[in-house]
Amino acid sequence: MNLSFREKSTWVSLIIVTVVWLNYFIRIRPALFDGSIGRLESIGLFVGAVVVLVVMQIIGQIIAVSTSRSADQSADERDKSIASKAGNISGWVLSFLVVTVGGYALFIDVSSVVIANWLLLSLVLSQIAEYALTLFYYRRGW
Amino acid sequence: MNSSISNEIRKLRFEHSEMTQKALADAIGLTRQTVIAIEKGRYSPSLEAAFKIAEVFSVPLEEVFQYRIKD
Repeated sequence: MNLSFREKSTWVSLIIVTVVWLNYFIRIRPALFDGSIGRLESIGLFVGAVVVLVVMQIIGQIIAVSTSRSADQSADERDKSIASKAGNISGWVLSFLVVTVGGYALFIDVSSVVIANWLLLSLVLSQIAEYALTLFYYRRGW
Repeated sequence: MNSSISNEIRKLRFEHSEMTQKALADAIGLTRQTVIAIEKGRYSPSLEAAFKIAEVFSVPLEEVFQYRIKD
């Protein structure tokens, strides 16, 4: 399979974001519903996830660069068009989820830890959607 | 969804000293993967890129790209 640098980079990001945040949300699952995880514990898990995410992204992107002959090429019109399309749709996904979380928080009395984690989940899902759409457009066009 | 625009880029490359996709990409300022996508009809290039491709092969635009009206 002939993958451009940007496709490889997107695959790396998609896999890392999915693995790291899936692990986080499995651990934080109670906090999504009843806030039974305390604020400090939640912060600890969040900071840990971010650190792991950053380290893995750095390593993953270095591998993507080192295995791509075209890594130094700037984005061309197709790269920019795909990024724009995928970003536009993921923006709608994020908007929908954030409005849903906001509506939920208005009617249900929940702690800030719960709301924060639902918003984080919304951001992660929209990011995953952007990566998945980017890869789809690279492979299938539109 | 496939484009209703077809092209003869692969044939033109072959006729021009078997130009590689990379050489064409470098000549018009796109990536090799974008040239591949254009040839396979998965991406319709901008007007500017289309004119650049025609210029590389020294042929009119219509010899490179053809627009079909779908029934």
